[in-house]
Amino acid sequence: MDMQVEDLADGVTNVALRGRLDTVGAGAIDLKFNAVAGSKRAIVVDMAGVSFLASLGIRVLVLGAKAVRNKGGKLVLLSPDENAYAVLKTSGIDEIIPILFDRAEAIAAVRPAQPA
Amino acid sequence: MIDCVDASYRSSLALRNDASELPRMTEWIVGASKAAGISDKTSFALQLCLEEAVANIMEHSRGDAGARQIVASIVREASDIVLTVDDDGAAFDPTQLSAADRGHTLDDTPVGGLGIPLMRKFANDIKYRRKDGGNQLRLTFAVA
Repeated sequence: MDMQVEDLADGVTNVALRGRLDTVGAGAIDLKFNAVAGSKRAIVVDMAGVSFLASLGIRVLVLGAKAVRNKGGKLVLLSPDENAYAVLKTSGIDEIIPILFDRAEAIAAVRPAQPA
Repeated sequence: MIDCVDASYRSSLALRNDASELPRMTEWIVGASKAAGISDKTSFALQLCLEEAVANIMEHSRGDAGARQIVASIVREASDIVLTVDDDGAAFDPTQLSAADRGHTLDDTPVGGLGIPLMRKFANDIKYRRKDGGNQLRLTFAVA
């Protein structure tokens, strides 16, 4: 499981996940993902490279979203594949963490309000 | 490990009740799905249900009466695929675990308890039985 963090414009952070987000994969990124979630306020989690998703992977995503939310920030999921999306939907995650399929929309959804 | 008889296919794998065995399990189920000619969608369902079933055993069946060995088997027949997961631990029926109440906001959403609902959704049928002093979970999938 690979995780790449990139700071974009306007305070938005892109977190690209790649590989299997199963029990082993969740354990591999858990600390790093929590550290990013605990320090950033606008996060797009790019799921396009996630080839497999199980409940412990969802746990990492939900804990991260809660950490961001507790600071008044936003986290969205971008472009999970068909299978990962079915897992997220079955788990009801689509009702609590926005899932988007367009990068520009995802960035706009988390971008902090700019001063007028 | 792999026998091919006519149109059927079967394979099994024995694991220790230890998380370090999980990569070997993944390699096995991915390879077995491929060898059995199972579609990508059904292969994903098999991988997910096996992952959740074994993660449940590793989480709940610990200590002196816990499982020492887990055996996963896959059998493909003409119309269905059966995945069985056996362990030698004390009686533990995961189908009786209550699914976590799904929250409607991030604040009231639990971070666990998703394994059983996922197995129920991705398998066509799921049955538990006590067998030979151990536990057996039997999951059935339609051949897509």
